[in-house]
Amino acid sequence: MKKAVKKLLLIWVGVCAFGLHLPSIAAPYTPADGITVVATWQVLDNKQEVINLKRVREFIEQGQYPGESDYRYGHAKTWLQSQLTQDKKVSAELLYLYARVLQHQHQFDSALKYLDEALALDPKDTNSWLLKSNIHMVQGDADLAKQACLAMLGHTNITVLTACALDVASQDGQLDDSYKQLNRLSTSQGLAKSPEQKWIVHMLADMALRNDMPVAAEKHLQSFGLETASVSILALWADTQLALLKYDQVLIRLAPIVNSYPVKDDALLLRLSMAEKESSKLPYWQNIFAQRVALRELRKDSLHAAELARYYLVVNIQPKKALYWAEVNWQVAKQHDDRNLLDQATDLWQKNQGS
Amino acid sequence: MKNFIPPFFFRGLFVLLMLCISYTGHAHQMSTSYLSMTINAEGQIDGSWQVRLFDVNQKLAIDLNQDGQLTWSELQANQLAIVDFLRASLSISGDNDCPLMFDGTQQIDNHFNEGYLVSQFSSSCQSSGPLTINYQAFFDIDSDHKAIVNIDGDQYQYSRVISYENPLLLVDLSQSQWFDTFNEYTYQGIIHIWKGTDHILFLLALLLTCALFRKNGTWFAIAKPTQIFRDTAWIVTAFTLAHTITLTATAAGLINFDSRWVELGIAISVLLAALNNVWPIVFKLGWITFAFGLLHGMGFAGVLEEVGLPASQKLLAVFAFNLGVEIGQLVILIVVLPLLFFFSQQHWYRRWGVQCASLAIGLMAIKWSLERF
Repeated sequence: MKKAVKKLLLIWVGVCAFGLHLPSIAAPYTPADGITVVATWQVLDNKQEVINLKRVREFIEQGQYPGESDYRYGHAKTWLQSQLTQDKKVSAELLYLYARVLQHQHQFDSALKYLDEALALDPKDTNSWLLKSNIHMVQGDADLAKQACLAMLGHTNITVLTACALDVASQDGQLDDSYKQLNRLSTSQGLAKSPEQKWIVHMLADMALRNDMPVAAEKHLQSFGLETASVSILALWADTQLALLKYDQVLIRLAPIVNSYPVKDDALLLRLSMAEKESSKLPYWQNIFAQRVALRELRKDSLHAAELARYYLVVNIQPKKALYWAEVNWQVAKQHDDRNLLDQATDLWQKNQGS
Repeated sequence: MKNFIPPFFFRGLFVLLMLCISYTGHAHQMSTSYLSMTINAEGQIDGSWQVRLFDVNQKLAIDLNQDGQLTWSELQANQLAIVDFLRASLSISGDNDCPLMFDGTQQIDNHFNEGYLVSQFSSSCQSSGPLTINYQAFFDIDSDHKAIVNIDGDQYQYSRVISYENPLLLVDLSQSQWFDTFNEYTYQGIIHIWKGTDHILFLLALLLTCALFRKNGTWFAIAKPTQIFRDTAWIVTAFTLAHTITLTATAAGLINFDSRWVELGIAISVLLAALNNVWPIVFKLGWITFAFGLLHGMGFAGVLEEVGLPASQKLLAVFAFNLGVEIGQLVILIVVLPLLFFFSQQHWYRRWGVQCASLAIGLMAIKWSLERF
């Protein structure tokens, strides 16, 4: 009896493991009856809604939040392109929004081109200058990034201008000083109720983490409610927790947020996988992200090269792939973190070669 | 005898439970379809196209009761509309348009835990040249949509990714795959030398004095065009030979240097080449070109790795890439050389033009060196 139960259990475990663990290996089949459910999804927007500039602006804002990115940016880009191909005058805002979408998709040179057109129409648009500065920073051009900040002189308040310039300086070898100055700025100017407050605090947290001050970064991020935070804030928060070795916190607090959306962002899946790996838990998130990575590679999606590189560096250690994706990332993104990623991948590859 | 449930029963049950919980998680993925085709020499095409049911619903609202659970009967009720959509979204043409016949039988498949519709199609497509596959499905609702395409021919097979930016695919039935590989990698080589500002500026720095000679600390114009041509040919040959050696060796995995130091070395090579024009130390430019060309070859190899090498035609791809780089260089030479010959006749160019241009290149190189360090 004991042997029979044991045998039955082993077979059952094997069937479960085999049957549930092969998400992408299947053969076409014809369902047996009409009530068989062949696909499920969460019902999203009403497809009949009217898409206009206002709606696209909302799409792009919403695209910063978990579960919304692909769907929102995809819809936004399609509509914006349809407007641009029509032979009529377009507004500076439309050009700016299109540049935002291109920036999101790492098409930085194209984004800059549209930003220049937007600024030609509206040279005082702060958003366009900030985006331009950001793109130049990503491309590793601190001079042009700083120029974009200074171009806002007279068009925006001194806080925004200073914060922009300090952000650039922090990527240009002045991280410690920039952090201190920005910290003083945020406390001395009474920004608590200003619209720029969250943006500056985000920047402070990012600088603190880059400056190996995860405790300070965590403190800055306390002002953000995770349930309503953007993907970038959530990713930064998760990185802070990982730096503080609080792996369980990442799993406990981030997992429910990610699980509440059908579309799961690569950046958050990566952090969950890293936390799960470090805490030696069963590979739930690691399996989900492994599927995502496989599909990204099949589609040759270089947009997420940084996530793929970190995945192969930390979660599913494969030095050659880590180095490949780190180099692909470096082709378009040349910030401090991108350099670190390339260095880590190179070190791992060399150690692997030597061993 | 008491009923006894052995400890392993609970362990097994626990493992079973954990497995079932751990592996039932799934995530909505990116919009992707899968297109497979066999094409024979007579132009007979048999294909299978798998499209994500979520995407089909976005286009055709096939979830009739909009409850987020698509049933087989709901799908069957929209079969004709789906076939019309597929037919309108994919076209293959050769000498003429080749109508696609979709099989009425549809099936279901699963990729990355998402349901897919499988449709079979066929066509007869005679063509004296390449077939053109024009794919337009779902791009109007999702510009991130991609199609993974696999094509099997009588003598070749290859995979491509169709995207919004690249919706067309050319398939040449009359030529074997080696020609496709050769064309593609030659093209990549040309593009990459034109995009490689550091490589171009290195070449330019060397060429700034190709129509001049140095005497008593002053630049003079070389009178004979044949000598200019010979000197330039020697520099270009040295550069070509050197980067071919290291590009091939790196691509073959024989050497592998840290890309960071390679990039820094390339930036320094540009700086030194520029400074040599202002304070000439090395007059035998061929040797210095060869030495630095070895570094540039490693830089090209890094780019080539990003493009990817076909496993079965690595050597051909590397050769074609090298050839592309050469062709790209030659085009630059054809444009630049006549200008430099003209400038060499101008006093201002010999007096300060060379130095100014070299210093400008040098400043750019210093900036790169600092960035890459």
